[in-house]
Amino acid sequence: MADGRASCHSAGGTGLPADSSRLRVALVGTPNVGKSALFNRLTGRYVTVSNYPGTSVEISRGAGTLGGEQVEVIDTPGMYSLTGSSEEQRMVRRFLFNGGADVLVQVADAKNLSRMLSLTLQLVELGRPTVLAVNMMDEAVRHGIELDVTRLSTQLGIAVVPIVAVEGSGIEDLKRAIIRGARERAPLPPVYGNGVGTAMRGVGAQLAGQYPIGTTALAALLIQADEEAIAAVRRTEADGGEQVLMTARRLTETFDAPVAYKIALERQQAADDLARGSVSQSRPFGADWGTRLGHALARPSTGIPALLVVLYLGLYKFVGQLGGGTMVDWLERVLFGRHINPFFERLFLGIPWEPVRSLFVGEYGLLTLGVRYAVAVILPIVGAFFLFFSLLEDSGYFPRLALLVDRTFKRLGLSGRAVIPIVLGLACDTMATMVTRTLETKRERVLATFLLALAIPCSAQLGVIMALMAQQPLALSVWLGVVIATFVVIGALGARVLPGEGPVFHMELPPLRRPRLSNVVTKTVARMQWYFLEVLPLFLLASVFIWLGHLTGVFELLSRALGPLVRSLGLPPETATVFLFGFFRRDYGAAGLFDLQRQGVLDVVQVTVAAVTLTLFIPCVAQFLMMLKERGVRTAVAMFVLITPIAFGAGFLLNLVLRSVR
Amino acid sequence: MPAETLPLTDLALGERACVTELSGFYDAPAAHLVAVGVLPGTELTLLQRYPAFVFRVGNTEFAVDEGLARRIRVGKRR
Repeated sequence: MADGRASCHSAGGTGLPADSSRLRVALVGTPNVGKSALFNRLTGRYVTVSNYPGTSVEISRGAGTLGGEQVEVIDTPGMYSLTGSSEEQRMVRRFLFNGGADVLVQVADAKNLSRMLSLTLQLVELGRPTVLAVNMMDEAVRHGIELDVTRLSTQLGIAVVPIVAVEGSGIEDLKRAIIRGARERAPLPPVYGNGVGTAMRGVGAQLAGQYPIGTTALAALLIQADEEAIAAVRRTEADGGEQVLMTARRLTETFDAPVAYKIALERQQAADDLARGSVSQSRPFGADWGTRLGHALARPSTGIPALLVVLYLGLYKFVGQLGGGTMVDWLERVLFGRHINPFFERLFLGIPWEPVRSLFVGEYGLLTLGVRYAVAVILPIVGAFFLFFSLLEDSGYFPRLALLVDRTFKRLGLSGRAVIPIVLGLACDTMATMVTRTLETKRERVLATFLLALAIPCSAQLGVIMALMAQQPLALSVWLGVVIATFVVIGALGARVLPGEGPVFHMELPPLRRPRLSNVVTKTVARMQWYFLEVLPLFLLASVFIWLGHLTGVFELLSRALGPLVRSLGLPPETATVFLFGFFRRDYGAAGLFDLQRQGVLDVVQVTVAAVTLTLFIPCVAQFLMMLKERGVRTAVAMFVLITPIAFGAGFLLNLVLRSVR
Repeated sequence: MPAETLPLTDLALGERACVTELSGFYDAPAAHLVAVGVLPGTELTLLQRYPAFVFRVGNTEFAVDEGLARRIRVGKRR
């Protein structure tokens, strides 16, 4: 974050903050190298750790103690280079360029060091104290890889510390190196050959102003005609940057290939040279069980049967039957039905004012329905789902799944990468909408957000739908068929209508590994925590508004206005209330449908039509707010305007078809 | 002797080759390949062709779709 202190730092200075405030240590690195695991080690705070490239989508901050000194530790989303194009990569870049950190710690995978060193060079170019933490040293040693730490450290001019973040070894050495690094002067920039180096030096020499990043890094950006860098030079240089920008333009023209490509090649060349001198591998990478199983899961002939088994055991058996069935049933009937709700009702018995009583303990009360729904229905289903998701994530299965579905997803304008937010949407569409940030192009992010809002039912919806139609397998399959058909047809249409280039799929496949229990638990807990802190308060707030709306009669007016619409779907007018309030408060809508079904107001066709329409409509107000935040007002409102007629239109048609079939 | 160059899509399974060129514009996917270390001079082994192309570079496996795989030109080892 640009916190006003950025200007206190001049390039090439020491990393100590100018004022007495805490040292800011930023962890950076390519995806999937253990930044979050190291963050947890340094701060004792939980961030989601995953074996899926690109699931940390935010910059997280935590406090840690290094050498008796309080420091701020900052975890950043993974990035391969400082000029990456996804939203999260740009976010990290802005953070670094604004001088957001005093010391940079690059976390690197010891097994693939030569691929990591090009980023190290870019960080060194920034002219800030930098430490290279070589992580997963244990796995590297097991594969016969040896690392000459002293030599690499001398050549790079920065401290190099081998660590195993998940086990905590090497962490004390790393802490000492960070403190030492902060006190020392920043490393000298690397020297490149082949014209690139000359050009960078030529431009760098003409930069006279003070910048939050080193002149080498700035010069490299200028010859790539980077807009932010040009703007910074215009602001800072005495002559408005005329001279240096002209030099940069002239040098850019001397290259026969795109200059960004030339620079990247030159850096990689330098990185390879460094690695050749310091890393040796005594035997080729063996085909261990993880590699072989990984290959099997990525091939259609074995991977698709395996996927079906995973879906059956994980989603149907574990999340559906155990979480959504057995656990929900016990919690609802025994815990709430016999103990908690009677307790609350007794508690409020003495309160004379009926509206207050109904707010808390009435039929739709905050405590008797809101809390019961949160704890007895959502908690077991969402919890089971997050546990299942975290297991798959930590094992490294998702990249294989992404690869398997890529061709199919391309028809919907998405790359296989989008399978992660789509699957996560089955737990919580709001969270999944946030995770669409990991997709590479804006077009993909828009399409994925749209499909999540339209055709991916979240756990809260799934729980209700399963319960509504548990005794009606035929209705359930009609619902499933209609939702899948909508997903595919509308997705394919969306991909045709939305302008822009089609998606490109490329993904690293991390080795498959046995999930670590601590990682899985940490991840599950972190997601549940997010869910309960971000999503539930909105429902509780909304329920207060509903209560007010009831008292004032506003909502009755609104639901009467909705009456003709639901009647055109063949539904009784009472369902208008369900639709209206369901959007604001999940539990209310769900309970409303239950009641209508119990009272025998709804027949099986009506239940199916209502379930389909509710599924296709935007799940809840929390998700709509997230869509506004992530996609902007115009796109989010446009989606709302599109989704409403699709949802009600599908309900209308389904009603006609089902009635005529009967 | 100049090695023949061909797109990655024409390699046989299990075959090893050296990247000679990334063809087409230097766009975001190409920049990504370079950033992860798939660039001229890199040796790779093709592991899978369908539904996406999987190859190994050093100790890491990558998956790319057919369109991107076509743009990776490789020279076979003589």
